[in-house]
Order: sequence, then C-alpha cells, then structure tokens
Amino acid sequence: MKPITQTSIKFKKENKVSILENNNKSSMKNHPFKTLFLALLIGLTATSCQKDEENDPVSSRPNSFSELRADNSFNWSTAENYTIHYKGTPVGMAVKKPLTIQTEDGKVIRQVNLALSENAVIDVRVPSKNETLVVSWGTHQKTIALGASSTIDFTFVEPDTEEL
Amino acid sequence: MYTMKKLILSTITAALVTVGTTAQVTQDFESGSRNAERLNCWQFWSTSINGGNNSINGQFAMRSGQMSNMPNQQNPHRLISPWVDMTPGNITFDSKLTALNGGGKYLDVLLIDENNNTTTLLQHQYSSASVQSFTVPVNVSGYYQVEFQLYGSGGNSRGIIDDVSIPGTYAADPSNNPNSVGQCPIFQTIADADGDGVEDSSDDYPNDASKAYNNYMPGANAFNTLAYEDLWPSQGDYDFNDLVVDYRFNEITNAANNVVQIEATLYVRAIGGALSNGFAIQFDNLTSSDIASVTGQEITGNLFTISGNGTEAGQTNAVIPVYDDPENVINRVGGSMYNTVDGNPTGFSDTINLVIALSSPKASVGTAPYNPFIIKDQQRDIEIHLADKAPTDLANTALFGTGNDDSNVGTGKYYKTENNLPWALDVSSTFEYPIEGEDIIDGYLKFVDWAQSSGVNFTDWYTNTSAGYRNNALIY
Repeated sequence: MKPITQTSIKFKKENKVSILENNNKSSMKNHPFKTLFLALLIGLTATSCQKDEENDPVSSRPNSFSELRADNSFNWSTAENYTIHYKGTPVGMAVKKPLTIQTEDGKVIRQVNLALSENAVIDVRVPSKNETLVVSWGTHQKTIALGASSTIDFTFVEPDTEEL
Repeated sequence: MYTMKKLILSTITAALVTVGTTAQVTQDFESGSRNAERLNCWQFWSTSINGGNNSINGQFAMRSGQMSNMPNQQNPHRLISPWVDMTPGNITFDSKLTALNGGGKYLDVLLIDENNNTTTLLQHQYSSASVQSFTVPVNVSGYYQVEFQLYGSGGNSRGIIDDVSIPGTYAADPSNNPNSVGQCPIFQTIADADGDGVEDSSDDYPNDASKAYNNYMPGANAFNTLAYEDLWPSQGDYDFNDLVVDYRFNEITNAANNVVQIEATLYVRAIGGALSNGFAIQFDNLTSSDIASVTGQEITGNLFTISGNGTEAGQTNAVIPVYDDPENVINRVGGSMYNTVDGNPTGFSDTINLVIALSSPKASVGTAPYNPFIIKDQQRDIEIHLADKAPTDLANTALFGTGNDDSNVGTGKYYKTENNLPWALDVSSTFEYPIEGEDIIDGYLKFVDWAQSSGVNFTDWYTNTSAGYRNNALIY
C-alpha cells in the first residue's frame, strides 16, 4: 500500500530539513549569535511542523480501504432512486404521448404513455452526482431540481405570477 | 322482469338525453389558473383568471386588463378558445365590468377559421357594469376558434367573462403547445400501425401491439459497471477488479406502461482473480413463475439447475443465471489475469444479450441493476451481492457473520463488514477500475471522502472531471 497522503507529508518534512541544513552551512562559522537564533528557528519550525501534521485533515484518511469505516445506513450506491408524482392537468382532449424523463446529459431513462390530464407515479434511478432531470410531454418541457427528498411532486402547470 | 324493464327504460332515457344534448366546449375558469388553462389550449392575452369580486359564477372568472388605452380593436385584451369542431348553435357566456367609467367599453366576439380569417359575431358596448348573459347564434360547421375582445378608452374598467360555452367538440392538440401559451394547432389523427394507442412516431415497436417503449438504464448508448471483490466472507485487496461487468438494462413497456420484457446487455471487462465465479441476477420483485422465457444465457456446466423458463430451479424470486463459467464469455489473449495487469495484452468479452420475457405484463419489476451477484468459485451456496442486497434461497446463510462478514438477516444488513464495507460496487458510469492489487482509495482520491460522508460528498468520485480526483498510474 502506498497512501499518497503519507508520501506528501514526508516530502514536506524533507524539504524543511534540507533548507535548515543549507542555512547552517552558510552562517554558523561567522556569527555565533546567529547560532542561537537558528536554534530558536529550528524549534519553532519543528513545533510548527508537528502542529500542521496533527491538524491536517488528510492525515485522518485511512491507509487502505479495509481501514475505512462507513455508516451502517450507507448502501455504497452511486445512484439515487426517486419517485416522481406527476399531477396531470385537465385538458379537452385525452391524446396520449410519452412523458419522457431524461437525465441532464440527455439520456432518456423512462417513457410513460399518458394523457396530459392523467396522474402517474414514476420511479427512476439517477446518478447521485446529477442535479436535475428533464421532463417532457409533447412540446412541454420542464427541468426538475433534484434534492434530498426521494419524492418529487411534479406538474407542468407553472404558478400564475403576472397580475394584470 | 321488473328489473329488466327498469334497465331498458333507463337505457332509453339515457340515449334520449345523449341525443338531445349538443356537445359543448366549456370554460368556467374554476381551475383558478391561467397557466393551467393555457395548457388546455386557451389563450390569454392581457387577460388573467381572478377570484373574489371578479367572479360571476363560482370562485373564478376571466378578467381583462384596464380597458383604458384601447379605443379600438387594434390591440384589445383577448381570450381565445381552443380549436372547436363547431356545430350550429349558440355561444353563451356571462360578462360584467369591474366598473363603468371613462369612455366607451366594448366587447366583440369573433370566429377565427383555419385560414385565420375572422368573422365578427357580436359587437357590444357596455351600458352598465352589471352581469349580463349573452347568447350568440353561430351557424357554421368545421374548425373554428372563438375570440373575445375587450377594449375601450379612459377610466379603469376591466371586463370580466365567465361560463363560456361553445357548440361543438374540442379539436385542439394539447401536446403541441409551443411555449405553453395555448397556441395549439388542430389535432391531427395519429398514425398507429399496430393499433396499440401509441402513435408510430413515438412507438419504439410500431408494428408490435404488445410493446411500446424502451426504457434504458443507464441510457440507450451507455453502460454502468458492477465491480466485485470475490473472497467473501474474507476481505480482499479491494482493487474491485475480481469481476468487472458493464451493464445496460432495457425495460420494455406496453401502451399501458406495464413491463412486458427485460433485456440486458452485459460485457465482462475484467477478471482480476483466479476463482471461477458464476454470475446471475435475482429479481427481488418477480417470482420464478413471472418469467416466461430467457434467451442469451451462457451456461455449459452444472453449477445451476435451470428450469424450463430459464430461471434457476428452487428459487422463490426469479433468479436468472447469466453464465456459470466466465471462460464461456471472455477471450484471453495471454498474460496473467484478464485485463487487470498493466502491459499485458488486452482480452475481450462476448457481448451477452439476455432477453427475459415476462409471463404477463408487470407494473414494476424493480430497479436496474436489480440484484446481481457472483457465485464464488463454482460453490453454488456462496454468493456475493451488492451491499444490503439479499441473498437467494440457495445461499448458505450460515456463512453470514463468519470471516470478515457482518451480515445480519434480522436487520437487513447484507454483505458488509463490521465497518460496513462492501464486497461490490455499482458505479453509475463505465468504471475505470484499479490495476491488479491497487487499493481503490489510492486510485480514486475522493473515494474516502465519499464513503466517510455516506455518499454526500464527492458524488462524482469515479469521474475524472477535476484535477486531484484520481491517480491514473493506479487505474487500468
């Protein structure tokens, strides 16, 4: 196992030591007071280095998968299940068309044959990284924002906003 | 006898009522939503639906903007009906004003024909703000829209219209409503070769009445990946390449939106181990008898006992064996392992095309990828499933809790360690798996954050969209 994080910390330490060694070589001979200053600097640097390591969130990473600890409720899925409750709106003609559910990258994942006035309950599975779904029926199209809730109430009817 | 007479009388009465009633297209605005009525192909131009004092009957009516700067018909407030297959009769409606002030206030009713020619049926000047009922005779047949225009000068009067009734039948196409403003064309009869009620242009099977739509997961031209460790109940090296299978499912539905057939396209991309593992799929929502037939399986040995319908015998739920020996489907081209060691020749797999026909249409068959699992090294009673997916009836549950496994049938915890680590992953993409022996957390640098946050952070850990997401040197 070669955890990258450990390699990174090691590299930082080596760099700091290397700089200090160079300073010693160039200054110790001519300026004795500088020796004290450098000793203090070494102390400060060492303390600082130790502190960085303790607070570095990366150091809390496990060294291997087997050291990982996950919550019992976590199912390790990279996708989420959503149930869309489509609420129809009354129209004068019950022409049926596919209600199409698309992912944000254009993949059609569900087609449901229905009239605009019909209600429907539609289950879909969507990658957890996705933020939206696109629902269309005929020329109507609307984007749904995916949130924490697995239940989505959906209608094509937009709220009336314009007051004349 | 009495009952029969009563039934006949009722039927005749109903028939007379039907014959005596002329079809009407009506609008009472009681939806209270202009946008909802626009979806119903009514057009509102500088008019809205309002309640309270603006209603005439019920709670809502159409109300115009102020009829103050519109002394003529050049730019009136308008309400336009959907296309109506009109029959001779009367257009009726009620109207009033919110107030009568300023200059003249007018209401016109027009017919619009298919060529957009208009005929004025009524020109009315309001003499009071009170409710008036209108009956406008119309003696035409064919496709027409009815337009109500409200206009005037000065003051702040608004026109109100309610309870519109037009003789004829609704003839607009609500599916063709660009910008959802109600401008729907006349409905055209659809072409439907198989007569299933799904028009040919949207029917994926226009000549097969038993099928209508393909429903692909993850998409028509995409694959997701299943990645397994195969040493359960012991932990492995967590390179998640002991079996790597790409999958795409297709639930084929009929016009009633019930699933009639499930298709699976599977491709074995890697086998980074020495065990000869079988592969199968359990459908937790289907029983064995729900399956009519299965084609496309790659079975050569005796690992599975297959029933006549292609399911595994002795199972309550439908279990579809895919292959018993991976050598049936992969083609090795030298080197150790199969597509997990960098620098070795790249092997290839046959594409497995499973076709699972259902005995009868089902409203739901579960969610792809359902419950796929491997059978460890030809030992039928040792199954390895995705986390928290239940074993089949033929799994030896006595192995639960042994080795590193911490499954608990009582709590529904399956195929997880005490630290809740899985033996398999379902990745929502074509997963580029780690090379042989390399821990997944070293290849995918956000994986730990994703897991420790229970899937909240870095939901795209398996992508390569940002710098710092992965160490390509450790990924095959």
